[in-house]
Amino acid sequence: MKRDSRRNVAVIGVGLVPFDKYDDESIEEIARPAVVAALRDSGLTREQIDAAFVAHLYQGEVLGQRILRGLGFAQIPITNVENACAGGSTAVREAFYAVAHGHFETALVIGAEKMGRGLINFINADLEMTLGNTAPAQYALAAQRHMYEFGTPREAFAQIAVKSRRHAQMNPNARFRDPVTRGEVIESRAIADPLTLLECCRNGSGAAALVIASEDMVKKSGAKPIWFLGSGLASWMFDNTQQDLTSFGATRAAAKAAYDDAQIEVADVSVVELHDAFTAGELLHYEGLGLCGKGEGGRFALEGETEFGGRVPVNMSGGLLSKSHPLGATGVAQICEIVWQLRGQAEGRQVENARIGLAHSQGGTGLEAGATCVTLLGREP
Amino acid sequence: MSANGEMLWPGLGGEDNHGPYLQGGACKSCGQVVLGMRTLCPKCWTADSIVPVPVGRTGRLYTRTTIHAMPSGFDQPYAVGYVDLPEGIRVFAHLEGGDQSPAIGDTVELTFAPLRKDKQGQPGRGPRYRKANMESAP
Ligand SMILES: [Zn+2]
Repeated sequence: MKRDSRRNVAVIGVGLVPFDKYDDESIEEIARPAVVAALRDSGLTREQIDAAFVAHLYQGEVLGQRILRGLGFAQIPITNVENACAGGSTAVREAFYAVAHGHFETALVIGAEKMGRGLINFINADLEMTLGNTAPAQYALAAQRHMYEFGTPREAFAQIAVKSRRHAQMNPNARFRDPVTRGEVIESRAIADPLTLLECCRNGSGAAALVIASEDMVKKSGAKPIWFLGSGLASWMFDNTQQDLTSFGATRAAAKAAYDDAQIEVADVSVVELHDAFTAGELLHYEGLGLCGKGEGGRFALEGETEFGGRVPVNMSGGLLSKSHPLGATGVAQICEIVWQLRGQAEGRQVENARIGLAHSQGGTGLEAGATCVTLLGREP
Repeated sequence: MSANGEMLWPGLGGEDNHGPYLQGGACKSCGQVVLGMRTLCPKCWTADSIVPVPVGRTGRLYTRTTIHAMPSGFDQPYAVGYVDLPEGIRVFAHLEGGDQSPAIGDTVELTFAPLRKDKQGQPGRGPRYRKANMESAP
């Protein structure tokens, strides 16, 4: 969508229920405090919310309705969104477009998930899963090819886990906050070579919510806006084709669409939250987002370019690696962190003079098919 | 073959005079080759145009890993990879382990082997590639 054909839209409220186990709460109970926090942050009342977009993967039918009926919402239109682990960011995008096109003045976005333990069992197990492929193995397979083609050192992946914990130490909302060394990462339990336990995100439960509003509504409400600059959504369509596995094509395509939409360059981005379900994924996404050139991800990680104080800090929240990964909530929580960074409210981990932030999330069942969403937000519209 | 268990994925492949093969399909209309049989050609959309062809007797290993965190039905870490077939498609398969385990770039040949146990503990068979031109028994 071209920028000049739509209204300006902003995030005016964010709410996060920090990710953890929540064994004794229902998914509705987990999610509701995020909604309350986002509305209070925005200053709007529930009567001022025109519509809701709700992302989850495994929580059953009409989750949004189940959450909101317990918060006294009237009969607003509610859309439940599924796009695997990119569901949260896809719900954000749908809400953004719905307001941008004038369908609504305000919208609520919720991402929520209650997870069990262990490897994620995809509902539609495909051939690869049946033969014993796993989610970490898919990223390991990409990492191995990257090491083969570009001589990427194994330490580069480990350094991403070290960075994640370093950032998480500064974020009280992160779940795993103890620092780790490269050696500890490499020596931790083997998962799929070269990836170890400390290089794989853990399952978690939790929720995040946003209130978004049109420019008119922003002015009326007096809330402090963080503006949508652009959005890109792309798909990975592996159909036993001989694609370049070192290049997540969907990340590249979604990023290009978002940069074009926002009419900015990658160099304009000051802070990034990206989908680090596995360290190998983060390294490949550096390249896919254009933060560095193809094949340069290893050097980029090792030289500290994406650390706090580096050229473009990535995952100041600690990312999925240190927060854990409640599937539908992840993409919405990324937007919370970007909003805090752009407002200057990321206490203890504030990226200096952050003006434009990028959120990236990716999901799918195996390499069969997947979704990737990139969102750009800024301090000015 | 039943002595070593059923195929993990029905119709995945078989064995003929030339040895083991994966079940491929070729479109009579446009020549597109796919893995498995389909009712609709993904390229030209012709219905019922896919005829069976054997594929994947050999290939080239594109990438590989060893899986240590195992799903149910596996007893010990196992090597897997993506194999690029001369028919132009890429398949996921197991790899022979040990000293002779194939490396990225190696030419590999197909075998079928018991790979994974079902809930009753019965072994299920599937594709496992090994380095080509090796003399070890299948
Ligand atoms: Zn055809």
